[in-house]
Amino acid sequence: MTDRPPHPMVDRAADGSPGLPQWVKLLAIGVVIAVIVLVVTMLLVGGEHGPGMHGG
Amino acid sequence: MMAPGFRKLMLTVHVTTSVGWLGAIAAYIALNVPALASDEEQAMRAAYLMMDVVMRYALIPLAVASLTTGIAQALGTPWGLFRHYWVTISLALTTFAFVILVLHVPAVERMAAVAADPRADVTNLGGDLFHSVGGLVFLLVPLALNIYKPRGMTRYGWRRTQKQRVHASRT
Repeated sequence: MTDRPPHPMVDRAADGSPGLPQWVKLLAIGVVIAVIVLVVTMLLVGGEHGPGMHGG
Repeated sequence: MMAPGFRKLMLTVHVTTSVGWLGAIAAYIALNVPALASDEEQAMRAAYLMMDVVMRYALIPLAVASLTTGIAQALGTPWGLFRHYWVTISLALTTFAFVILVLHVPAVERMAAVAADPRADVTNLGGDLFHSVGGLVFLLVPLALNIYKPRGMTRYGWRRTQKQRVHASRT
């Protein structure tokens, strides 16, 4: 978090309408690519990892 | 809203526990070195046993403290929890990392139990680099978001700001 919170009346006024910012789109694309790489790697390695292994 | 002095205190606790969480992950990664590369069986066993200790007494408590102080910090300041994308995404990523951490506890306990059994073979346990390195890289994203605070209001945050503007103009 921050030691300088925004003033809701002044700061971020330039944010304008609530469209999805460019950096959120880039982050989403990065996450999707990372997940695909992860899944492909798991499949190539043998697919031993998955939510099931956390069951205890 | 929090009083300025209390906000500073909460921020200090939040930064300390968050950096501590990353440091504990680094310690956990370091334990993988003897677990995977040592020629001495005792060192390998000790490493797996210590992974369980680090998980229980450092990673989990620091993760809980980081998450709760982060939520308190957001709710107690004008940033809010769902008003800005960087706060909301940080919360989502940190919560996801915490859930994976908690779900991974039984697997670490199993490795420690094998290491504690002198008759068991520890050479095939395979370490735990995947989760630890993955977790460290993953948590760098909310860390960067918290430092850079990229612009961008959510629809909810924008509506709240508009309402407050209207309210302020009437009074």
